[in-house]
Amino acid sequence: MKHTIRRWAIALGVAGLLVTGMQAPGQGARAAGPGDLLSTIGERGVDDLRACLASSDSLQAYYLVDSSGSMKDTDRGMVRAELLANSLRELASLREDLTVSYAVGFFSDRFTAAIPWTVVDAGSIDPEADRLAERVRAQPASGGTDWRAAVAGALGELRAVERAGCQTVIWLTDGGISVGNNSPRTNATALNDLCGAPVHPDGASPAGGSHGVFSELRQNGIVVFGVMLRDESHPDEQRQYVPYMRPLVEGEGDVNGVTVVCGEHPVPERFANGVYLEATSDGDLAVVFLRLGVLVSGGTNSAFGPDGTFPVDRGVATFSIVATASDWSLRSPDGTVVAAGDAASRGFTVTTSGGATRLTSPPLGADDVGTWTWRSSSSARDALYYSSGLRLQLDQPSVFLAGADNELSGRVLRDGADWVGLDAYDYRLELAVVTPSGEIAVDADRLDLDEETGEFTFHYEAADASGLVTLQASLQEVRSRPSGIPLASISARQDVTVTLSDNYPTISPLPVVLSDLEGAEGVAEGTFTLNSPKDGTAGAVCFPGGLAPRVDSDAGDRGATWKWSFDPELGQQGDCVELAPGTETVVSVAVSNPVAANGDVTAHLDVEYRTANGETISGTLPITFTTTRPVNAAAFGIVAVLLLALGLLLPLILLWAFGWWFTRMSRGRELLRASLPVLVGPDGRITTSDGTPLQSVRWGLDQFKFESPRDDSRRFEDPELGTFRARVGLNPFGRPWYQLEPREGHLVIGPSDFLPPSLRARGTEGRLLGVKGDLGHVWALAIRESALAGPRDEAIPAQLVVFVRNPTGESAAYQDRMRAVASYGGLTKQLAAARDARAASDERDVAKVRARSQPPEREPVRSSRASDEPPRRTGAAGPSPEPPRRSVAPRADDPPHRRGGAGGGPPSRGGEPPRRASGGPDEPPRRPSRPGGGDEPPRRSR
Amino acid sequence: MGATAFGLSLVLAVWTATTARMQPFVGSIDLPFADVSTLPLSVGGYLLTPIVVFSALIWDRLAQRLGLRDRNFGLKPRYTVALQWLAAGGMVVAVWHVLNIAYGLSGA
Repeated sequence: MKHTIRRWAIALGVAGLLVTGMQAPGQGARAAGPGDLLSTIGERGVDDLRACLASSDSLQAYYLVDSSGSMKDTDRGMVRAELLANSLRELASLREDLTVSYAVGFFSDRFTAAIPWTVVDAGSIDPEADRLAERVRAQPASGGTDWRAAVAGALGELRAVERAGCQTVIWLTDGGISVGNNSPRTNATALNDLCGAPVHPDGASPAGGSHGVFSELRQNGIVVFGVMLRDESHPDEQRQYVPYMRPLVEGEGDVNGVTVVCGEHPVPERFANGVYLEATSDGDLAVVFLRLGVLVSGGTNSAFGPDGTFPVDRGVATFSIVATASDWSLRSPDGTVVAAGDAASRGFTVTTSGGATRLTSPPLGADDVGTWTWRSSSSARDALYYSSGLRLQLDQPSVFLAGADNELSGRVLRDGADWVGLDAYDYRLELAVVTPSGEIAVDADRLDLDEETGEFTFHYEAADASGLVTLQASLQEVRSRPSGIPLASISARQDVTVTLSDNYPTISPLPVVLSDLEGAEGVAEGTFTLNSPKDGTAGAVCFPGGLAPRVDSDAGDRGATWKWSFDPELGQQGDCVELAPGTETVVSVAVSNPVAANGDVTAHLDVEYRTANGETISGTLPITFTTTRPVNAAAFGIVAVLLLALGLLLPLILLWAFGWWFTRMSRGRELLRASLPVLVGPDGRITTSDGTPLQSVRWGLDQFKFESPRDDSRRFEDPELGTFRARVGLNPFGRPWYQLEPREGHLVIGPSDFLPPSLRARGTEGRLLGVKGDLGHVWALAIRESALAGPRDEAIPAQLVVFVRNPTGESAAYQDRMRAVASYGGLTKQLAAARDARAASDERDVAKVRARSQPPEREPVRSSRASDEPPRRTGAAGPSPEPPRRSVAPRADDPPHRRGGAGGGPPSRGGEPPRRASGGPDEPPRRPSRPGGGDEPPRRSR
Repeated sequence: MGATAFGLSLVLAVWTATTARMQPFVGSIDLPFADVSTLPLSVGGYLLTPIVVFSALIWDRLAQRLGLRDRNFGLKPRYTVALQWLAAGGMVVAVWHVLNIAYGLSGA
C-alpha cells in the first residue's frame, strides 16, 4: 500500500511533466509515431512501475501470451518469442540489486500455465530468456481469444506466489475477445464482467459490487501492460471487441467515439495504472517492446528537432533511439558520424529485435554536449529517449523528536555517468509523509541543498509523536538545462521513528506487542510502561479518546466484539495518568474476542503527552498482536467424516437400496406360458420333437397356459428353465440386470439381454442367460449339458419355454410370438460357444486328471511325522494298492459305462465321489461330464 | 431440480473459494480453507450437493421404475444419466463444502 501511494504521487507529478514535455499523447493513440506510444494513463502506469522499482528490490513479471489460431497469421515469424525473451533480459538488467522472477502462461480458449515462477539472475538470465523464447515457439497456436480466462488465470498465478515487491503483467494478444461459443451475448457479458460495468449493451450486467478483474489488478498495485497486435490486413471476426482492450487495461478509453469507463473510475490514487500499447504488425510489435524497455528503465520520450537534430545537455546521462530502419547514421556535436557498422565499437549499445533497432549511447560527458543529428529513412517513426541517471539516497536518520527540529539527510547520485551538479537541472525537491491513504506532501521547515555535491538536508518538525512513519523525498519536474529536456522524476523512502523530547513522558515499548490471541476463548496480553520525563520533571499521559483502542486492520469481521481491559484502570475518557518525577507506571493490557480468526491485528490508542509546564503533544500508541484460530483436529475429523457419511455414504447406500428394492422381475397379469420339447438343429432352427417347424404349428391356448397372477419379485422359479433373478451390482450407479440361472445339469440359451462383464463368460457357456425384466418378453431353451457332447451336426433335444402377455386374447398373438421365437437367429452361435466352452472345460479337466494319474514322486519321509501316521494322499495315484484307472479320453466306440457303480464296476477314479446315476426318471442316461475321468459317453440310439 | 442444485452449489463453491487462503490447520500444516464467514454458504452448498442432487436422482429412479408399469409413462433414460453425472460431480463439490464446514465448526 505504501508503495502504491508513493507511486501515485510520483506518477502524477511525472505525468504532468511528461505531458508538458512530450508531444501530447491522446486517448486512442497508437504506436505510429515517436511521441504517441502511450496515453497519459499509460505514462502513469510506466511511472508507477518505475517508482515501485525505485523503492523495491524485487520484481515479479507475468507473461500472458496469446496462443490463439490467429497468431499464426499476425506473427508468422514468431517475433514475439524473441521480443518477450528480450524484455525479460531488460527487466533483469534494470538494476544489479533487483531480484526478478517471471512466469509464463498461454491462453486461447482457455488459460494454460506454462512456466512456473522462476527467479533469474545475471547468471541465469540468458538461459531463462532462451527458455521463454523456446516455450513460446513450442506453443501451438489454435483456438479463440478468451480474455476472461486469460486474465483470471494470470491473476490466479500472481495470487499463488508470495508477493515480494513490484508485480507486472505483460499481456500480449492479437484479437478481440472470444469466449465459449463466441456468441455476441457471451462475449459481451464477459467484457462487462472484465470491465466491471455494463459497457457492452449485448451482454448481461456484471455482478453487483464487482469492479472487474482489471480494477482488482490495479487495486493490488499490479501494472498491466496490455499489448494489442492489431494487423488490419488480417481478417478478424472479433474486431468489434478490440477497442475495449484499452478501457479494460487503463480504466478508460474510446470505443466507437464513445468514452468507455471500466472499474473504479477515476482510478484511485493508491491504485496502479495500466498501460495499453498497440502494434500494427510484428515489426511494429518489436518497436513497441524496444521503446517500452527504455521507458521502464528510466527513459523519457522526447521529440526530434527539425532535420533530425536533438540537443544533449550536461544533465543527460544517456540517450536512446528506437528505429525501424537499418540505414541510420548519427552525427555527434564534434562532427563524428556513427553508423550501424561501427556503433558498437564507439561504445553504443545496439539492440536489434524483429527488424527494429535500439541504439543506446554510452555515458555522455562534457564533450558530448551539443546538438546531435539523426538520419534515418524511418526518421518519422523513430523515437528518442533521454535518461538522467539520477538517483536519490537517504541516510538512516536518528530518532525524530516530536515538536523538535529533525533532519533527514541524503544525496542525489548519478548512475552510469559522471556526476554533474544539480545546477544542470531544473527540479523541485519535495518531502512527503506516506500514509495509508496516500502520500501527503509536508512543508519542510527548511531545506539545505548543496547543488554542487547533491547533498541535501530536510529540516522537519513532526507535529505528532506518531511512532514509525515513512518519509519520502522526491525530485520532481526534472528538466535539463539549458534545453529544458524533460527527464524522469526520482524518489526514495525512509522509515523514521518519531518520539518525544526529554521533558515529555514516554511510553515504551513502541509498538506494544501483545501475546498471540489463540481461539475464541484466548486472551492476548502484554504490558507497556508510562515513563516520567527523562529530565527529572513530572508529566502526564492522557488518553483523549478513552481506553478503547481503535482496530486499524484485522483479518476477521469482528470489530464490534473486541473486549479490551487495562490494569490498573486508567480512568475514564480523557483522564490522565500523572507521573511524578522518576516514576513509572506499568500498564497491563488484555484483549479477547469471541470470534476467532487467523491474521495480524493492528490497533492504536490516541495519546496526549503533557509536560510539567502544561505543554502537550499528541501521538498514538500502536498495539499489534497475532490472532489464531486453532483447529481441533479430532473435531474436524469427526465432523468431516460425519458429513461425508451423511452427505455421500448415506445417499449412496440409499441409492443402492432403492435400486435393489425396485429391481424386480415383472410378472404381472395375463401372463401365459408354453413349454414343449423341441429339437434344435445344427443350423439353429427349432422344431417340435417330431420335426415340425414351429411356424407350421397352430399355437393357442392349448399350448399357452395362464400363469397365476403373482406380484413382481426379485426371484422366480421356473420348473424347467430354472431361476429368474433380478440383480443389482455393488455400484449404486450401475445398471440392474435380470438373469436366468439354469437347473443343475442344464444350460439355457436364448435371446440374451444385458449382463455385467463379470458374468458374460458364464453367459457364453450357457450357464446363465441375461433376460428382460418383463417376464412376458422372455423365452429360452433348456438343454441338458450332456446333450452338447454329441456330434455337432445332429439336432439337440431341448425344452422350449415361452412366455407371452396377451391381454386382448387374440390368437394371432401366440402365432406372432412363436414366429418370433422361430426366427431368432442367434442359437447356432450360442450353441457353438457353449460347446466350445464345454470342450475347453473338459480339456482342463483332462489335464487335471492326467496330472493326478502321474506316478507319485518320491517324497522324502519327514522326520517329524510319526511312524504310525497315515501317509498323505497325493491324488488319484496315491498309495492305493489298486493300479490307477485309465486316464485317457474314451474312444467313440467304447461301450458306455454305467455310472455310480450300479453294475458293480469300479469307480472312475480312486477317491472321486460317485456320480449321480441319472438326472431323473424321465431323463435319458447322462453323458459323463468329464471324459477324462474314465467314463465314456453314452452311445446314441440309432 | 438436480441441475439447479448442482449449479447453485457450484456457484457457492466458487464463491467460497474466492475467499480461500492458506489457514493454519494442525501443527505447522497450512491448508487452504474458505473464510469462516462463508460458513453458511458452505452449509447451503452441502445441502444442495450432494443431498438435493442425490434426492433428485433417487426420485428419478423411483419415478422411472414405477413408470415402467404405466403404459402412458414415457421413459427418459437421459434424465437418469444426467443426474448420475450431476451426482458424481456433486460429490466432488460436496467434499469442498464438507471440508469448509468441518473447518468452520472445529475452530476452538
